[in-house]
Amino acid sequence: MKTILTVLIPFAVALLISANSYAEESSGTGSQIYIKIGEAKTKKSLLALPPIQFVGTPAASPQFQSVGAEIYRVIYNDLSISTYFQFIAPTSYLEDPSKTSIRPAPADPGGFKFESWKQIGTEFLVRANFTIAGDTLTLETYTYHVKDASVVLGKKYKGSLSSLRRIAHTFCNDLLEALTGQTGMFLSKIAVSSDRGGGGFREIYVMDWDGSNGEKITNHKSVTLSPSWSWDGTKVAYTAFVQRTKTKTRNADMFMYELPTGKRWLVSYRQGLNSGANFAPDNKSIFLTLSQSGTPDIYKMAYDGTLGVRITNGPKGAMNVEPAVSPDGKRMAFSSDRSGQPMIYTMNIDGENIKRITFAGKYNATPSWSPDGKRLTFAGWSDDHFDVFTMNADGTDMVRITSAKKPNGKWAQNEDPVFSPDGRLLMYTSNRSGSHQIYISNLDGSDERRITADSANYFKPKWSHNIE
Amino acid sequence: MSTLDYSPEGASGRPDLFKQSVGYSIIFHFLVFFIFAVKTVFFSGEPIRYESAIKVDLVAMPDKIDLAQPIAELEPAPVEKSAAPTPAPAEKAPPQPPQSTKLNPKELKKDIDRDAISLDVAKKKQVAAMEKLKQLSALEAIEKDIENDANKKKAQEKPKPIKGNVLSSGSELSGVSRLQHDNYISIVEHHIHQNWALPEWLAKKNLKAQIRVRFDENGNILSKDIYKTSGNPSFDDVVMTTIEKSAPVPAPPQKFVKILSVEGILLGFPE
Repeated sequence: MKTILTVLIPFAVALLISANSYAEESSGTGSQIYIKIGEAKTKKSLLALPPIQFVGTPAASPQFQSVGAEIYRVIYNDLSISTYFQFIAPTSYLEDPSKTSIRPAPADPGGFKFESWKQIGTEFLVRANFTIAGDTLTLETYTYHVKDASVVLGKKYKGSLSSLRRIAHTFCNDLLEALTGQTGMFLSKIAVSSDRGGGGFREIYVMDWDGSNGEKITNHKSVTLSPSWSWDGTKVAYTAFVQRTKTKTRNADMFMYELPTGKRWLVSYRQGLNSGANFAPDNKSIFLTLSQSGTPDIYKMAYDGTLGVRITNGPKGAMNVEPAVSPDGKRMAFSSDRSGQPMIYTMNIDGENIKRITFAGKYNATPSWSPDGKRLTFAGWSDDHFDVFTMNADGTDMVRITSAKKPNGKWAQNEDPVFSPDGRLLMYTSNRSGSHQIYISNLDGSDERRITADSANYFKPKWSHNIE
Repeated sequence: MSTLDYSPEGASGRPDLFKQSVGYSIIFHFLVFFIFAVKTVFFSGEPIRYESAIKVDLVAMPDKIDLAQPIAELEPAPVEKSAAPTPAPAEKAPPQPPQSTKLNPKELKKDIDRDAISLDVAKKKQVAAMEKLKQLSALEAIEKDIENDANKKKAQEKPKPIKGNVLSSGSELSGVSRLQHDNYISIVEHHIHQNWALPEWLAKKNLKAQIRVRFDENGNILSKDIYKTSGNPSFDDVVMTTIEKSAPVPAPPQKFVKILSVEGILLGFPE
């Protein structure tokens, strides 16, 4: 009996086990094969942008050639930085755009032929002409999707000759909106502190995103720095070392300037620092750094200077500076040296729930949010210079954006990064040319381009939202 | 007398006790074995899944990615990265600040040793995998035998005319064919992914399309049709062009030809 048992039991068990594993292996297949291909690479679309035609009497033509050329340059620059397009070289055009009208052939007898653009691989074709009547400029544009011979955008723009760049930028915004559903950033502006006025002073300048139309908005004849845009793009807050008439001492006081009205007022003039302004999305208050209590801490303040709550408090001897409110207004990034070295932290807008998010490097500063609130960009000290980095809002997935050397072979400083209002570009300063100039690149650091082209210095550029 | 202890009574009594205890022991052991066997058979937990491991290098401040280089070339460089004078190698990333640019030769050596060890481990893994494969194929052979037997019996019972159920042989994949199947799928996925590029203006719209494609034994496209449209003609167009560009796909293993040419496969762009 025992011997039978000893033989039978293992056999039975073995049988059971094999049956079980058999059942497991044969399950789980049998349905149709399904393959997820995954995220696509992206590529630029081939775009043809022939010269803008002048419509009018030939006699008047020469003096308006430059107008057409400038419209062309603005559109070309906007569309090329949009990262959506690659331009087709005019030498490969199969038809002469100056001899065909801006409408397609069968409908317009003198029109262009889709076929001759299709053959050279054109995905989008932009045809435009302009007329000038007195001081009024009219730009008529058609953007075609060549493959299915359809019009993506057909629009006419009218304005004064002086608003030429604005008209061209508006067209580019409309084109991007028609294609992608998201408007471009071409009507946004930059506020920056610069010494380009000479005299050793730094004043605040406001300019178009492409560096043109620069306008000086301060004249303190002093060091003026850290401009910041209000969310509606009507105000700029900044700090200036101004002399006080009574004590004859200089203090870093905070001012606010309203662009449409030209109104300027003193917001905060407490002893010590009144700097690092950052607007709250409520269009009523700002966050700033005050050092009235000793070490710098972050406070909330109304536009008229009424002091609100103190957001950060200590630890003892630690500074808390450079507030940056997240786009949803719920979180704030800031720099603090509470751990010994300046690092990036985030917290709730009321100062609760403080989290350190950078651990690498020796010195991380100037945090700034992406418009979707998912990423932060900052300047990090690595080796012997600053470079621009981006990371998720929790500090993960850190990417180095910049890496450049000066003509003398030493590493250049790349600092003060901010996102573009559409979140597709980064702007920062770099001294790779010898002086601190403004640069723009894609989010991965590619397609770097210099926006300013002089030998002056630019500090802490800030990018506004689109300004209508 | 103490010597009388060797009396026949004593001698015959002890072996009996011994035999009995051995018997109990065997029964007890089998009982334990049986309990565990029943437990594993009827109350088995989650099946263990074997997936390939990924080596992760933590670098304190990441290097700028050189976009001129294709990403594939960047991949086999993690050893170099940790040896480069960039801050803090792998494990010691967090609270410590990077210790300037000095290289620590000991750490370097450690790194190399670790790599040597991981080579050994990899070899062992390979051997283990081969063993597993052998086991699987053996299992399969047994299954086939069982199936053959069953078929023989069936054939004896009723010689029914079988009407071309051509898919049955391939649709149930297990063991080695399952591995081959997974392998082939990842080859096809990789192959098509190489050609999968969207114009930037279409990329951020979160569009999705599914295409049913049939391939012949050489990987040429027999047919392709939209199974689920993205709703955007331009997007569907790019997806179709991607498939056309990808033809021919790598030739499928003989076993899957029938599945691929009759049932086809569903391709999700991007999922």
